[in-house]
Amino acid sequence: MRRGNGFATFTSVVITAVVAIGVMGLLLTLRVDVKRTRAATQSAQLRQMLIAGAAEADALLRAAPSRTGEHPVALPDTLADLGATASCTFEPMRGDRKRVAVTAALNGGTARQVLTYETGPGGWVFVSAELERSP
Amino acid sequence: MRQRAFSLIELVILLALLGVFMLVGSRLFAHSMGLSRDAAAHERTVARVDHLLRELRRDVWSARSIDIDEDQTVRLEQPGDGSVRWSVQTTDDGATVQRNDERAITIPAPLTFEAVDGGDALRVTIGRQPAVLVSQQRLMTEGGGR
Repeated sequence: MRRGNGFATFTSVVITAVVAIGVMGLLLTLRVDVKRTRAATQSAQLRQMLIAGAAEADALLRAAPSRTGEHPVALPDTLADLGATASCTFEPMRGDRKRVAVTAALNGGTARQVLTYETGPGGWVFVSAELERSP
Repeated sequence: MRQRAFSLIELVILLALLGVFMLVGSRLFAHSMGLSRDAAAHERTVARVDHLLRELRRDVWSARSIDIDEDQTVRLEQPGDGSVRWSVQTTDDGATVQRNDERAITIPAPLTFEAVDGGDALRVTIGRQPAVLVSQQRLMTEGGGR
């Protein structure tokens, strides 16, 4: 065996280790960015579904003011094929108010908002929308 | 057989090579450490920005109106009598954002607010990245017909 191989081996091991640390740092940054982009896309989609669900809940409530229980929201095929679901849950009237919970789910993430209505001269009057859960 | 000793030239070359290796190695090491540190700092910044946007989104979602002052203070009128105020202070390193008098959130980039879609949404630009936060409250009351 040639002399000096020990030094070369040591140097190469040190340089490889240093480069590996650098690559790990880069991969960590990349992983965080990819994860965040994916989460932001899913979150935006869930909020879109909440907005669609609110419009549907409003229409359903005006069509049948005493409506209670859970009603699924129809979603486009592209979303339904991905396993996305959305629903409106009409709570029974409490005092002069009624709450409707709109829930959306996609890829394990969920978002939920609560719409509050109160009785008015022409039927239900929308009072507030509260975002309870959004990823 | 007697082993040949190193000549002076060989020693000088060896020292020069060692010096070069040390220099390159230390630079590489410092750069790698910097990358790891930057990755951790980046992750912390992302978490802070996400937290800020989540809180702001919740307030905008239920806002009856979105008003922005000249000093970039946003007033979000909530159902009932209350309102929420988000203020921004631009610093040399970025911006400090505060919700009412709660704990301020510091981010390493400038932040600006702009009302969009006829006041139905708030555009938050952090650095050069915009995010549009929609008011469901206004969509239900003001924008239902749009």
